Amino acid sequence: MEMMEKAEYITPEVEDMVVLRNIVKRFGKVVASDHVNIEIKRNEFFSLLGPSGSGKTTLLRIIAGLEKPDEGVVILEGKDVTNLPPYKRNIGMVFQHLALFPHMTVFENIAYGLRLRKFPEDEIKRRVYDALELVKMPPETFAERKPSQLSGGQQQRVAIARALVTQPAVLLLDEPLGALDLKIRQHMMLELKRIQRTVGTTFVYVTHDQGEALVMSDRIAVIHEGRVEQVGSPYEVYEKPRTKFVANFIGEANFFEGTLRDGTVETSFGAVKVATDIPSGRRVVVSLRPERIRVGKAAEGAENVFEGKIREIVYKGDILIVMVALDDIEIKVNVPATHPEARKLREGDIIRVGWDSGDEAGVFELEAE
Amino acid sequence: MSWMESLIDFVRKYKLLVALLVLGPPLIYLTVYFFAPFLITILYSFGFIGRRGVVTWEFTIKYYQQALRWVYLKVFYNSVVLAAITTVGSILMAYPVAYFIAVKAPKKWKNLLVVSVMVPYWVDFLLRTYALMNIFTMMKMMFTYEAVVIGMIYDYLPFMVLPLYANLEKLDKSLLEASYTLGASPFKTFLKVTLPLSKPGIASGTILVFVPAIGEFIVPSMLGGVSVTTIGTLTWDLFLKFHNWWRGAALSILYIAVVLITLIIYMRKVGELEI
Amino acid sequence: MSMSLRDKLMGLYSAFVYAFLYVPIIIVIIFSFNESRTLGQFTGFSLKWYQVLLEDKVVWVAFYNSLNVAVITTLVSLFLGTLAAYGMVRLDIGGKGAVDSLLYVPIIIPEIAEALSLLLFYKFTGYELGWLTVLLGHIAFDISFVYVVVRARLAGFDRSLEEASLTLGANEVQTFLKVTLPLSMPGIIAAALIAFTLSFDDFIKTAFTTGPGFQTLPLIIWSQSARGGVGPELNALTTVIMAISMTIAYIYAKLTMEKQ
Ligand SMILES: Nc1ncnc2c1ncn2[C@@H]1O[C@H](COP(=O)(O)OP(=O)(O)OP(=O)(O)O)[C@@H](O)[C@H]1O
Ligand SMILES: [Mg+2]
Repeated sequence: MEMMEKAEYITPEVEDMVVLRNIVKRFGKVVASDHVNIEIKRNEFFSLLGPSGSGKTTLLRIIAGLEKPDEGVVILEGKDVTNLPPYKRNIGMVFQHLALFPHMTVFENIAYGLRLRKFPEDEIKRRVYDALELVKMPPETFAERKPSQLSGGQQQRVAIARALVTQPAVLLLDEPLGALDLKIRQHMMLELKRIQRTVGTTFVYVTHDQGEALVMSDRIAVIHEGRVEQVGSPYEVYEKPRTKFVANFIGEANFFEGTLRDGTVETSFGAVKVATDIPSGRRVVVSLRPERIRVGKAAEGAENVFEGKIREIVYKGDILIVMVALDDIEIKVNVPATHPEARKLREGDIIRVGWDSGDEAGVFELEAE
Repeated sequence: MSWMESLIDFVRKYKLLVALLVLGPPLIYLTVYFFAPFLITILYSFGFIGRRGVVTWEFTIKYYQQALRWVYLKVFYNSVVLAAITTVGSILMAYPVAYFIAVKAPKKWKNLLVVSVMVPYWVDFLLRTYALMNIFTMMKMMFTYEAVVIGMIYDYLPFMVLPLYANLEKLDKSLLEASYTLGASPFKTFLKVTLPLSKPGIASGTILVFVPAIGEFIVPSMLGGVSVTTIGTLTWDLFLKFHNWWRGAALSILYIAVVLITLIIYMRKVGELEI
Repeated sequence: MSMSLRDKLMGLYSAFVYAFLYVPIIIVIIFSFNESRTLGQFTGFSLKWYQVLLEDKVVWVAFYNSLNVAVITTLVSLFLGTLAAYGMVRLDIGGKGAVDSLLYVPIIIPEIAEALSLLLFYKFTGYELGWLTVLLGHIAFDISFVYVVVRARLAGFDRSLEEASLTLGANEVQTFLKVTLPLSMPGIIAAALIAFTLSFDDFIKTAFTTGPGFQTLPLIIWSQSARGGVGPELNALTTVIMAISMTIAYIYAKLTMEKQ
């Protein structure tokens, strides 16, 4: 992780739309943000990903100005806005429960920000209609409805239109898809991505769903207990997790511990070759994704080959999940349904598993107690 | 817009002052016209204030001794008994109705049924008790204890139906179905599931009926005449007929003490009051 | 869905209870239109008792007094109670629990105890009993009801609506005017209705705190019905007051049901 920078900051490059410097926020004893440093670039789709209670919403609210950090600086478009109220920051926000004004029509909801900015009425109408078109809501049908007369997905679209219509520099979204069912959710994910590409606004997207984050984001910040564990592209956080937490939280992984000696980890079931810079003699934990493990004939010739008994097979359509016992631990292996030996696998059989060094998602030093 | 911004700045900077400006007026009003009068009542009850409002600073408990005399204690007792009868009577009348509205009644009827209970709730006891006088006069029942009991239940019934309904409405109907599938008869289900779960509603209703019923004045006075004496009628007489303010004050303070103790016990045992 | 016998019995019982609630009221209304004075015998339809009411100066004065007190009480208690509610929900200060309990006390204390303490207070401080003393007492009582109703409404609404307004460029005052106030309007109206009826047909507090020459409608009913005096004029008057209260109650019910 990057070390904290000194309190003084250098005016960032213009392409940094949002910069959080050393943000600390406490609620009583809870440290909701713990020295957070993040730089979000222009036009980026940036996600804050982490488990419930990790402090994602708090960070978003700090960017919005709805919460004031105890320490640290918030910079929007190169300007220090730490002490500005939300209405003086050039932002839009989509709330978790949308917060559409129930006493206003769809049109009035979207026009709200424009009216406050004193746009002429015909300009307001044009912009509201454009915004509705952008989110694929025909204005003729929907403009005069009340939010209560819309489906969940439609309300979602209105909330996005309302937040975007004032052309904010940054759009902040707090788990906006949380309340939708799976089908609409998957559809809205693609929609959001499309909208973001169309308008080119910087999106900061909060979610606890790794699927959403991986699909939509340009970059992801993984948050854990108020700290940033890793910032990187979806590929980086999935394939090259920096910490054990990230490896565990994103995707699935098998973990095994051992002592590192000359590029080999001595585990309970044997020596495992790994690729790492960690010096010899340290206790480490190796993370290995289930889809990286080969079985049967395919495992032959791999750098690490072991044999184990099949404990359980779960059929998932496109893959078989095979639990294999290696000495005292059990590892999970994803076998594609198209694998030539897939149909012959039986619970109780002995099976060969194998992988090369470098296939592991990561090798992490265990903290010395 | 600038006045707005300076206003917002002001609110931010002088939080405490703003709190005073906002909460001050209502609190000052209540202090002067609600709490101060009770303080005055306490002063009267201990004889600090004498005839013609002269403050004497002579402390005495004789008015309390008078208020605790046997005849008065009997009135207290009568009031509590009447309130208890009223409470039990209204539970018996209200429970099936509340249950019917909450669980059995067809959906489209529900609102109408609730509103029909709510509407009388809004009419002052004086008017509704007067309404009963027509019937009791016809039936030659005026100035009997029965008339008072029926009148009490009549007036307090909505105070029992509404909290019971609010409680039963929240009851998860699938619990009843679960009980049926486990082999319990509807009657057993009522005893083992519905009734225990509706205890908070019964408790709320009991408080809303029992506590004010102890001090009820209008019903015993209008329907009972001189034949029924309660704390309410006694207080009224002491004040507006005999002008014995000191004894009346002591009686009233005792009554408030009973009410507060009942409420505190209730809050401890059951918690929040619904409605 | 067909009902079982048990359910039908319960429905029948409920119908009986509703009849119990409404028959006396209906009888008052019916006999207010009775031609003769005989109770229990409807001899013919007539509006003459309403005619009598209309021509009765005392009733008109009392009606004016009731209305006057109720309207002023509503306005003042609405202002003070709403102020208290906003303050308690929105201000970020300590000691709120204690203040909240204080604001609830007038609802808990039995009316007769409150009424006599007001009387003692007025006597002690030398107020002249009449319009003002009645009014001041009604307001004290109503503030708490307004407070409870408005507070519940405010506490029940989603804070993020106000936050959304802030992020859309409205400052706190604009947010209050465009979002908070319109959304709490149903609560404020409901509170106003409650405050009005509580004051309009209040009897006990008024009886204790009024002075010679200041009569309200409930006081007229009281003095004329004392010792069993039931009559068609009183039935007509009661019908009028009940009609007012019940209409307001109905509006209130409509308002609060719709929001669910
Ligand atoms: N207003 C507040 N008062 C007290 N504690 C708070 C407040 N807001 C957040 N917290 C605490 O700060 C921590 C972070 O909360 P936050 O809402 O940012 O989490 P989150 O990552 O958004 O979680 P979720 O996915 O559940 O929404 C939690 O422990 C939470 O309880
Ligand atoms: Mg959150």
